[in-house]
Amino acid sequence: MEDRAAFQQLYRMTSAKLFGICLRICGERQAAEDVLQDVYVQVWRRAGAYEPGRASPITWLATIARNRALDWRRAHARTPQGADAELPEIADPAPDAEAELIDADEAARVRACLEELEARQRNAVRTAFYEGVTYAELAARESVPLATMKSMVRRALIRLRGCLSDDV
Amino acid sequence: MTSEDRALAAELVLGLLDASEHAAARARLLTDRDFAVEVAYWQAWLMPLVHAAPDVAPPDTLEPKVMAAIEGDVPGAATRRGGWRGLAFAVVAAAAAIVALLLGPLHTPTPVPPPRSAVSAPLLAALAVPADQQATGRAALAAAVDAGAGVVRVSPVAAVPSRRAAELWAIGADGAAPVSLGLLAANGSTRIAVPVAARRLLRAGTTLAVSIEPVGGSMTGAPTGPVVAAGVIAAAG
Repeated sequence: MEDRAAFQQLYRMTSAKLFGICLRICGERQAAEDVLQDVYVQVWRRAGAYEPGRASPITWLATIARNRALDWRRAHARTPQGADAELPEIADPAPDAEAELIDADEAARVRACLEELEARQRNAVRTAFYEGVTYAELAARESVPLATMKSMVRRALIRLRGCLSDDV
Repeated sequence: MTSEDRALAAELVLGLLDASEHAAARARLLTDRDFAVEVAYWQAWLMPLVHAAPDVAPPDTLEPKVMAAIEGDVPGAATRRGGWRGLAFAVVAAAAAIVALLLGPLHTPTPVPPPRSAVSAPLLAALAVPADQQATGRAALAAAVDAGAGVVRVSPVAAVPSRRAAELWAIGADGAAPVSLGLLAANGSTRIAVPVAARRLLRAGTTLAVSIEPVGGSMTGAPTGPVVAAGVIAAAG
């Protein structure tokens, strides 16, 4: 059927991106595969919810994948010390030119605003975004008290918000 | 919206909160429109960062599994009029847009029109109990909206005092005055055929609210009693 073929094409064009997102957040391949399968089934069922113009399709798909992976992580919360500290850092993400055409302005702006934060703040925000860790996990990784981590990240988020809402 | 509220919205999007904080922030999303807007703001800014995440190819065995999982069984689309068409439209639109991204501007295909409102994507609203009503035996409600047919179905409402009625209201995303959609049944779930004039409100972003009114409904045309549940309509997952 035509829409199944379109869906298969969609899968082939996007699954590596979404699997990368799920794998980083779930931290294990089997879980990431299960989550990814759920994501595509959900996408198939709710494709009508996609609103062209609000975000690029890949960003829409990535949002669903990230939220599903976060749900999985939340449901399978491990002790903070057991987190996957050995995963390589996303040190300085390079722009992904092909996929960013639609979101390029937003991505460039948010990267520029992240650069204005202190290195520790920036790393905390990035780690939270890419790995889906909670405050408790962040604090354990950095060996700082939870309250210290929270107030540092909150200051960072308030500063980031100010930067993002500044007129260019 | 204080800067702490704004930070909380970002924390929700990032996933930093612990389970109870996360649940509380999710609940607030349903009743606090400004907060929901702030969450959408962060979502729009932060999500493009996903493009920097490294691609990892899933195993080849996953594609047939996914294709088998969608084989024949599509409850969300098959049971609704227009579901298949809307689905096909959106998938093809998404695929076409991605093809356009991959091929670049030289081969931009003719844009596929977005799904029109005639396509009835399932809409749902979770109506949460406001904080000041939680001690009175209230329960959250669920509403399913069929915009195409102009019908709203609402789960049974609990703890309506005798000689009172529960009335359903719609408040458009533009913040206009609440519009009555009708009374909820005293027992069991309710199916409301929405007046044609109010059907434009049956869309994502509209807030549904239930207030306690005199029997027969509010006589002023506006909610007069306490709001016992409220939530925003969203496309179903």
